[in-house]
Amino acid sequence: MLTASEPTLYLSSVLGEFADAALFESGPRLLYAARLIGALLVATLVPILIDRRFRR
Amino acid sequence: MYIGHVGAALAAKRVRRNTGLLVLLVATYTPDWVDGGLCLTGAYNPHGILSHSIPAVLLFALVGFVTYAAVTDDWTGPSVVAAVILSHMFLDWITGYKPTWPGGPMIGLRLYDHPIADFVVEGVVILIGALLYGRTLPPRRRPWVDVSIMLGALLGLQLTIDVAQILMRSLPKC
Repeated sequence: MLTASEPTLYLSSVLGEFADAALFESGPRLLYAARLIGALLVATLVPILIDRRFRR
Repeated sequence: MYIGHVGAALAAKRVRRNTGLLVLLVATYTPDWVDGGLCLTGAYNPHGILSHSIPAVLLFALVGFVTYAAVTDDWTGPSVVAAVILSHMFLDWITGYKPTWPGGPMIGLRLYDHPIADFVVEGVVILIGALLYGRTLPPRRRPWVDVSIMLGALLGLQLTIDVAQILMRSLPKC
């Protein structure tokens, strides 16, 4: 019969807690970073694409 | 300032036609790219000391100057790139509220709190940039059409951001 050993259970519990903390604590930060970087990419790519079209 | 920074890059294109627009756009948004990187790594400073203070922007301008000088033969291109990076700081003082130096005062007119005024000011910077940029384009029968397309796209982006500012005032910062 396959059973989880105590160290395995302990490790999975620690990893679970770590993942929860990382997700909840860094979630808003990553969301803001994604928004900022996305906006910068749009603000950079839109004029570049229009300029390329003009100079073709 | 948001899309107004593109106006500075477009105006710089008129000063130095050989410099690629991508280089000028990266230069004009350098402090904001640094902010994005700092936020991503968890090293973000809410006042922007590491990205928008006078010493930080001077350092970016120096790095931009040296980096671009390494790939070109003259001093004009690197000087224009450095000036565009510096322009970010001055334009942000009009619309934002930015740090001067560590421990120093915060300065700026805070137009972000007044999205309509922000749109008008940024629109003027975009308009000036688009008009100057139009002179760098190849000769055409109706050159004003090209300028209008660029101007319309940038004003549309700025309008979207200002409307989003009004609708989502409580969005969390980094």
